[in-house]
Amino acid sequence: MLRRNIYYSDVLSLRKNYRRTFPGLIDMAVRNSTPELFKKDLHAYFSFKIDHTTSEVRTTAYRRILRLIECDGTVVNELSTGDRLSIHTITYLWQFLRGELPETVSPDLFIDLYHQLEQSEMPEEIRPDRSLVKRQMNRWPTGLDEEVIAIRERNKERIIEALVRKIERRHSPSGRYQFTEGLSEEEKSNRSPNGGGRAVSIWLWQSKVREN
Amino acid sequence: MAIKSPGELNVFLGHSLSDKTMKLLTQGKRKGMPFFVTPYYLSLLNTGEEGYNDETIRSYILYSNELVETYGDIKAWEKEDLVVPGKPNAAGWILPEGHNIHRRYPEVAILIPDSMGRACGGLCASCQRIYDFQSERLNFNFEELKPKESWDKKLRRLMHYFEEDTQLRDILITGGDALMSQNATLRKILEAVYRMAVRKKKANETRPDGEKYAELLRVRLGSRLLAYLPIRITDELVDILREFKEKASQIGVKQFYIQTHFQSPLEVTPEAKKAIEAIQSAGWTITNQLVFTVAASRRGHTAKLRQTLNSLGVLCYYTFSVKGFRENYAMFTPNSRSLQESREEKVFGRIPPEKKKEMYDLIREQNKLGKNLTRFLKENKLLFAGTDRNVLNLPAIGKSMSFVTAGITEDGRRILKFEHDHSRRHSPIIDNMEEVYIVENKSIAAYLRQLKEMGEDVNEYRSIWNYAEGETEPRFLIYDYPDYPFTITSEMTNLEIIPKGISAIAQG
Repeated sequence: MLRRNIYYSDVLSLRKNYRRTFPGLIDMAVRNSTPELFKKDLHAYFSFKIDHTTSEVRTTAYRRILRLIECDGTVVNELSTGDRLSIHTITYLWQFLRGELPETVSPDLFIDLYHQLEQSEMPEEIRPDRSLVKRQMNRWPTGLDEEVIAIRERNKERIIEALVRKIERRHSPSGRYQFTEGLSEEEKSNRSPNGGGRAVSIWLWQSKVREN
Repeated sequence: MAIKSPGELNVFLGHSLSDKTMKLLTQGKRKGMPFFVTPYYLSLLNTGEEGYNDETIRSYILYSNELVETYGDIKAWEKEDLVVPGKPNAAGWILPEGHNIHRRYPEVAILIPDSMGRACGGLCASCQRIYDFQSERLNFNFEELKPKESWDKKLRRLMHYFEEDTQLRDILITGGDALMSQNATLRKILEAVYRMAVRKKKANETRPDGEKYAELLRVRLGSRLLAYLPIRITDELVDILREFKEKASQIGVKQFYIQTHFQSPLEVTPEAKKAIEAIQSAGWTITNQLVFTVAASRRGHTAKLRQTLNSLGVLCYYTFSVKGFRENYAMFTPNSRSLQESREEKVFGRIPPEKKKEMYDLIREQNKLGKNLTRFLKENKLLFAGTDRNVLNLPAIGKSMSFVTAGITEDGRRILKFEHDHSRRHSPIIDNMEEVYIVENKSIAAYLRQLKEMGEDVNEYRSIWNYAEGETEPRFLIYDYPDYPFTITSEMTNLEIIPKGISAIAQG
C-alpha cells in the first residue's frame, strides 16, 4: 500500500515502492531487453491470470492492464486538439522499472499505474456507504441555513455601503444611477439602486434611486 | 451596477483579496478579460475567517493562473460552434448565417439571440463559451447588445430554419443567458417561436403520414440568473412565461423548461428560492445542470446540491465534466472522479425502476413539487433524486461517459477512448467518425494533490483509481421527447455529410 504522501513522490522513491510491492515486475522489466518483449511477457502473465480467475473484480482489473499493453505503441487522433498522439504507457513503465526513464516523464504516470497494478493483485471491492455519504453531504451548508444568511446580511451591508460610495463618486448628471438630493446616509443605504425593468445587471434592494 | 474591475472587486469584498490574487486579476484585465459580478453574487462569498467554505463559488469568479495566461489564445472545444456560411459544421449541420444557431443533434438546436441575451449575469471562470467571450461575440457591453431593428427580421429568418427542418422539435434559447434579454425582447422571441410552431403544425396538415415534419414539443430557456441575480425573476417575466405556456400548450408544445445552473448549495438562497417558486407558479419546470469543478467534486457536495434543489422542486439534469484545454486546468476534475461520484454517492438517489412512472407523474402534475418530491424521496428512502447524468460534452459527438482508458500520457493524464451515447439519436456524421480519443486535462495524482491542498482527506477518494471505464447513464423519463400521434419523416434536412474517403474539390 502506498503511503498517502505518495502523491508528492519523485520517480526514485516511487521506484522503491514498486520494488517493495511488485518485485516480480521489476525482474520482468530487467530480463526483457526491449519494451516489446516486456509487453509480450506482461500480456502473457495477465492473460494467464484472466483464464484462472472467476472473480469479476479481478477480471476487470486484468483487462484494464491488458488494454494498456495492447494500446501501447499505437498512434491515435486526439479529438479536441486534432493532434496525432502516440501512446507509450507500458514502454514508459518498462523504462521506469529499469531505471532508464527520460526526465520528461512525470511520476504521476507511475502513481496511476501503481494503483492499477495494485488493484489487479489485491483487488478491493467498492461498497458504497449510505451513512458515509450522508455525513459527507452534511459537511456542506446551504444558502438557506441561518448562519449563512446571517453572514450574508453583514456582507450585504458592506456591499450597499460600497454601492452608495460608487454612486456618489459619479458626478455626471447623465449618469444612470443617482441619488435624489437631500437624502441622508441611512436613506441612501435603504435606497440603493436597482435595475428597474431595464437592465438586470445589479442587485435590487428596495430602491428609490432615480434612474436616468 | 455590476463590479467590472479587480480593484472594485476587492473594495466590494472588504479588501480581502491577497496581493497575489489582485496581481493576477489585474494582469487578466490588461489582457482584455471581462469582469462582471453582480453585487448580489458577491454577497454570497464569505470574506471572514470564520463561517462557511465558499471555494465552489469563489473559484467561479476569481480566475486561475492558467485562464489568465491563456486568455487571447483559447481555442474552441466545441468545434460545431464554429460556423462557416454555407458549409456544414463539425456535426454535419448547415446553419443559417451568423452565430445565432448552434446544433449537434437532429432534434434540438440552440438559439442565441442578438440581444442582451448575449451577456450573462457573471462570467463563470470555467465557462464553456469563454472562447466566444474572447472573440467578443458574447460580451457585457449592454448598450451595444440592445437589439437592433434588423434583429426582428433576422429572428424571422432563424425561425424559418426551425420551421423548415424535418427533425427539429426542441428549441433551447440561451446565450450568454436567455433571461438577460429584456422582457420586451424575450416576449418577442417567444412570440416568434410560437408563430413558427403554429406554421409548422399547419404545414403538416397537408403532408401524408410518414412524411410529416417534427412539430415543436419542447421550449427551454437557459439561464444562470437564478443563481447570479434571482431578483431578475420579476412578476412581469413570470407573466410572460405563463402566457407563453398557456398559448403554446394549445398547439402541442408539452415541455417548458428553465434550464438553470446552480453550482453549489450555497447559491440556493432565500432570494433564489423565491425566484424558483415564481417560475414554477408559471407552470415551467426548472432543471439544473452543474459543472463538476474541483471544488464541486468534493465528497458529498454535488449530492447536497441535488438534495437542496429537490426540496424546492428543481430537478437535476446534467453533471458536466469541465471541458476545454489549458485554460481550465485548475477547474478540471478527472472523469474517474465523476464516475466515482455517480457510483458511490449518486447511487443513493437512484429511483427504483418501478417507481419512475410515479415520480414522472408527480413532476408533470407540478403542484407543490418541492413538498411532494421530498415526500416521495422519504417514502423511497432516497437521499435525493439522482435524475442527472454525469457526462462529458465531446466535440462534435456530444454528451457521453462511455469510455475505456487506453493509456496515460507522460505527464500522467489518462487517454480515454470514447463512444457516443447510443441511447439518443445523433447526426449521421457519427458513422463517419474514427475512434474518439480525448486526453484528460489533469492527472489523477495532480487532482488529489489539489484536493489535499483544499483540506480534503484524500483517503476518502482512494477508490478513484479503479474508475477506468465508464458507461453513459440512462436518461430520466422527463428528458425524453413525448411521442407524436403521427409518424414523421426519417429524412434529415439541413444536413451535409461528405462520405469517408471523399474530399472537397474546391477551397472555400
